Amino acid sequence: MRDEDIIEALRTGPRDKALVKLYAHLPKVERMVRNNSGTRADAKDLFQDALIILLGKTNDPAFALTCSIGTYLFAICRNKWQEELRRQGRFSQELEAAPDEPTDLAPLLAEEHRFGLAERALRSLGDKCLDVLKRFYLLQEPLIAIAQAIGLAGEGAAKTRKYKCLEEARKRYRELLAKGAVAQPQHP
Amino acid sequence: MRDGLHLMERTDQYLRGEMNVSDRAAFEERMRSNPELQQLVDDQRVLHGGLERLALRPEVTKAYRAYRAGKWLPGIGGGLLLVGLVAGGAWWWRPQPAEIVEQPSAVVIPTEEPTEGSPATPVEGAHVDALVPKAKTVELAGPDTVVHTRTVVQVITQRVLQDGRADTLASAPKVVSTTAPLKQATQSLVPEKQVEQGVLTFRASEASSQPEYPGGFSAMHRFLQQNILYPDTVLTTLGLVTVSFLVDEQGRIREAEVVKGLAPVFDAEALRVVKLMPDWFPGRANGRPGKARIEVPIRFAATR
Repeated sequence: MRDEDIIEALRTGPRDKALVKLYAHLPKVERMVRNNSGTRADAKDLFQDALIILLGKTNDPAFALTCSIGTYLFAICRNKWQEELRRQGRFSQELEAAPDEPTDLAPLLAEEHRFGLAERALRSLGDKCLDVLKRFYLLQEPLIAIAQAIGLAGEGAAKTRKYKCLEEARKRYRELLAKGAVAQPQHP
Repeated sequence: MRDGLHLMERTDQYLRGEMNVSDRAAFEERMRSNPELQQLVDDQRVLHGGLERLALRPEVTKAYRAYRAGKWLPGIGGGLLLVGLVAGGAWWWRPQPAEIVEQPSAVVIPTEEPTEGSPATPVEGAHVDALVPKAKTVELAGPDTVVHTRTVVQVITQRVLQDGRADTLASAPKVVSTTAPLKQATQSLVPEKQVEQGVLTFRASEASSQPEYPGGFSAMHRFLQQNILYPDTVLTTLGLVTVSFLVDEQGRIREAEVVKGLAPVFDAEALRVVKLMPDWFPGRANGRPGKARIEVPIRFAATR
């Protein structure tokens, strides 16, 4: 399966088989992480974040890869791991980059870091709130339909519920941001 | 709380691109002079991004499990992948049987002669199985000018034996699709027998083919990508807009419509770009160009 085919499958679906195929690039990331004071679980987390970033990017109609998918995924993982080592104060040497690694990843990674914190904040809310927010923002269901689906009195009640949930998520996200937290809680 | 709620709603509208030009300008002006509002808007945008990540995570984890399982069974993994792709190909393409009849109140018996299943050319010493699917389509124009179709498929298997003889196996004709009101139409307009006589053969051979975008599927994708202007919204959105359209005998795109939409701004953009596509190569039935309906899913999800 060529890179273009994988990107196309990610764009148009079904995406599952293409995603499985992409995990072929995981071992290289595992080697890099384990050679630099990390574990396999760290590598997996990094790699899955990279996959999610790639998924987000392929959905952008303007997105075009300037290198192979493998290089792209590795570059995201390398940059993030470098950042993690620096944060832990264990940074010793520059992790080796591929020669054709894209150089413009910094703004993307900064943005993705914040998305990661938001994800963590949202996850901590609990299923009821998540359900309302997903329905409203992702599935774009009308408020009245949401109210019916989760057994609320009406549109107004659903609106209030959504407001409280989003406001709470925002509060928690702000806290994480202020603490300088990592997007993924590390494995024990 | 009322104020907060109202502000959040306005922010949603702003991020979704649902404000009109003047409201939008006013909102942006307010944002410039109000850092708190600016932060609210940005937080809400980031939370939306986080929500999308959250929604994508199960997919990624599931693929990881499949990868771990597939590591030990590479052969099976490859097989599954192939099936996935074939299904993907079939998913966006949905042929519409036969042609559309425009005269009302007429029983149309297509004039096409039933084609005989041409025997597969015997290859020396080879064992060939040729599948010649046949479809009979009967069209009935009801009094309300709505056309009802019924498609009957008969699979004829021809096997050329090693000594050059051919034997033929025909399956029982099977109705594969009938539009709902056919029964009433049949009863009121034609006896069942006549329906069976109205035969239009549709053979899956080089004489019949699906319409095709010049340059194929990838070329179509490039075209859509290059021409889609991401709607003017700061929101990161995730979702599909499915556009359905008819490719007529000349390959022109007609009757484009959104069959599965997202938000109005995305639907309109998807529709605009689909209508912008160059003419296709028309689909063919029995060697003649025919109409066919195509569905193209367009995925929107961008971050600005």
